[in-house]
Amino acid sequence: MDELAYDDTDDGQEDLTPVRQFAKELARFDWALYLFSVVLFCWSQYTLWLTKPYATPFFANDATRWYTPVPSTIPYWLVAYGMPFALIPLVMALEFLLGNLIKSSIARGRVKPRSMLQRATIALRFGLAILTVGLLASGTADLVRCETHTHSTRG
Amino acid sequence: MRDTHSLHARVTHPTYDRLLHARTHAQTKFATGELRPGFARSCLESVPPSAYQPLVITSNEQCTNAAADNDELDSARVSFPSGHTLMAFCWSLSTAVYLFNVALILGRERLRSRLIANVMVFVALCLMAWAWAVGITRIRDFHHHPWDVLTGAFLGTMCTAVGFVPTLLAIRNDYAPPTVY
Repeated sequence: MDELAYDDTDDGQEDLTPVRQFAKELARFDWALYLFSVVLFCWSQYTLWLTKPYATPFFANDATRWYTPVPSTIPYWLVAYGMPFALIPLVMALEFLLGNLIKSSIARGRVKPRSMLQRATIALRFGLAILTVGLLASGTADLVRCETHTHSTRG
Repeated sequence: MRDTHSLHARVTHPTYDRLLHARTHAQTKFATGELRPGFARSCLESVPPSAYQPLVITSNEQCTNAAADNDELDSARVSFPSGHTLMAFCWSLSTAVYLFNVALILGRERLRSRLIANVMVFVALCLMAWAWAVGITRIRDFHHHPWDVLTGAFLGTMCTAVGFVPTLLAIRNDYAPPTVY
């Protein structure tokens, strides 16, 4: 367990490689990342409702388009929604496991516990992450509409 | 600050990455307009044609199948890339990479943790097999061409690799001294 313990202070920041340091600095502007994702989602949703798929010419004698589709073996909802709902709890459980390992290091006094400000920041960012997941669900719903023929706004 | 960044990177970078996937995927489908393998079944009344037809269909209005509406024909024009495969690779690959990294961390600990690490590696491999199974069934069910599935897998892999780098860096910074790696 001693291998896991480390000095969690900012004094060790100079030990980070330039790439890791850059990644850490980049993460401070996550709010811009969320704003960009929301704007991107709204713009994309608007343009997709206005446009139609490109009408690729179809040659009636092109036998590569004569296949008879069968119902999907793996439904789309299982991929788009089943996997996230199965994998996110898995990752959360692993984070809990790793959190317990870190907690033992805190008990040894080798790692500083999180301050209230850090906890609040984590909670805020976690809320933004849930918001992003919601936008993702709405975005994938657009793909579902493509597959179930409910484009009500298409001419 | 280190813990805050790590949790943020682990949760938000992958989700933002996946959001970008979905939108890019939809835009690509509409821009290319690749016809699905069963497009003729939606567009023509009888398939295969009883005789040679020098017919080139350039719009939905030229289709002779009265049972297919405009939305169905539109959906038959969005074959490239495979959305199922892209999403499956997106979720499976990112989670598998995450599991591999956690397994690397736990593998250095006690024996019980090593057992858990082996289980994680097994689950990660199963996830990758699942992603490939999704792509193969899309071809077998005649919903996509092989190049649609391969492109979907490529896009999912590349975007996950790009979006998951901060996550990997954060995990390594969090649970191990930087000098180890």
